[in-house]
Amino acid sequence: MTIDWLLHESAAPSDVAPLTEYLAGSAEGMLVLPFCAACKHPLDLDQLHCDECAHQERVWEAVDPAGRVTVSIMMNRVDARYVKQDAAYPVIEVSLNSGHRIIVSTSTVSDTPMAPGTEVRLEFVRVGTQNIPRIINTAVKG
Amino acid sequence: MSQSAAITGMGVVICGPKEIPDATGNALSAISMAAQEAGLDLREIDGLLINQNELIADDHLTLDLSRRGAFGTLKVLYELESKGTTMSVLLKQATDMVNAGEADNIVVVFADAAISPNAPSGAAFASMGGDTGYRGLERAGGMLGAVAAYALIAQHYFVERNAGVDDLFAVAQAQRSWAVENPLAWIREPLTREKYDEAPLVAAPLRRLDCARPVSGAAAFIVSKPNSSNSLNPVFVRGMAQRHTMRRRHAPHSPWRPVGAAEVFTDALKQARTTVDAIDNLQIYDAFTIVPLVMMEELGVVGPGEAGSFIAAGNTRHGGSLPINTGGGQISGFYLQGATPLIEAVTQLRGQGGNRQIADAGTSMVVSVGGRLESVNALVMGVQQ
Repeated sequence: MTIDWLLHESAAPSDVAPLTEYLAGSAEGMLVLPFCAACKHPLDLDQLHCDECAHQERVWEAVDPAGRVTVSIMMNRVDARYVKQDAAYPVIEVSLNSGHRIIVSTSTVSDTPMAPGTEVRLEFVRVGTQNIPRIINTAVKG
Repeated sequence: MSQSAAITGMGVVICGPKEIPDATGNALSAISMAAQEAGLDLREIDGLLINQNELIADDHLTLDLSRRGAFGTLKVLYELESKGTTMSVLLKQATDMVNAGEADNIVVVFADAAISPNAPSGAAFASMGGDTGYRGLERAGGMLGAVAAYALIAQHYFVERNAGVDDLFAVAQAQRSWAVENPLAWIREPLTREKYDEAPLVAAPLRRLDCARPVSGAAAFIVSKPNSSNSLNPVFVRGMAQRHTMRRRHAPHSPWRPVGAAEVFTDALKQARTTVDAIDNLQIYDAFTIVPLVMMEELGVVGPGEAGSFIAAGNTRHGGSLPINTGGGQISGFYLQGATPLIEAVTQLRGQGGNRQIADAGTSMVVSVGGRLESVNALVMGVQQ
């Protein structure tokens, strides 16, 4: 597993609930996300009741790690406690084909935002002891 | 008609950047100032409502404030957390309780210890998040702090409303024009485009001058039935409405728009038995310049995508058709969370605005937001009950 270019180990999330299933999936190289067990509506990671049908059971399923960029920003203030780089880096909101939205950066170094609507695929990189999704990109350096 | 409860006293404490913050000490100072304005001895205070504030600082108010002050026997004492809308909610609750006879003199108080000599502006807010849940995942995506969250909202707004940085600048410049005349404002020089563009980017498109100015300090309001010992105009809470739709991270829910803002606006006016034409100043919780743009449109004050040009045309400045954030807001004034717009509304309604005073100000609307535009609250305040 490639070590993340962007973040230090200190930025790794804890695998306590509600991230337990999510991070267990990512450890296997899969993007695992929750759905309503009744109507299959996508749910937030910590959502216990379905906002579509009010059902109270959920299932975790591996989803296609792909979607579209909704918007992206550049993070200019670099916090050395968490960030290895000294230059601005992209933070991108992706609407997955599953209906879930996640916040990611890129898998290799980049100093540019991504245009809304760009189709993207995700892969995992290593941050501390966790596998974290990143957008697959060709290295972009201005 | 018997006299209704009103805001009869207000106290504000803002620490200098070199001062060691003390949330409880500042809160008690603000309460003393407010009680003095209301003509009350501290021991006459029989209600204490605290804005729970664990946003960033370890030093925050607790119920123990009641022990450390010199209050009378309290008939009501609690903390409330409703994000950025908390102070408005508490003021309405205090009004209702005094009108119901549950207590006579209630304090509503907020304190923050956001900065200190060892923790400069912005540093504390930048570390928000933690390593668990969604915030933990967002941090692992490189998204650090509230500025990044609002930068994403700004980008959504830009894309969907064909807007841009010029609109953010319009907000920053208009509010600075008000701050020039506010002695409490942290920066009081007129803002040029050159100065704005020189400000460092925090999370593009947001620059430092697009972000609220954190301060350490406190604000307190006394809610009681006005009497002859009150030296200043009482300010009445006339109506309030709110909607809370926590931000979901999946379709079909919007990643950025506040839900129900237009209904909040009309509901609050209806409760106050007034119309939009009566609102002669609007005070919006503006932690970032993007917020007034979004909220003006969502409330229905202007059409979609029109807020920037409306502001740039001078409509929200002194003498404009709808003065907004007349103390400079949180951007150029000071960031005491939901207390900031309330302080300015009370200041205007009392006629204490000095050179920034709106002539014959009689009705203010305070619009507070919480989280990532997830909570929306509109409070109508006026000099008439």
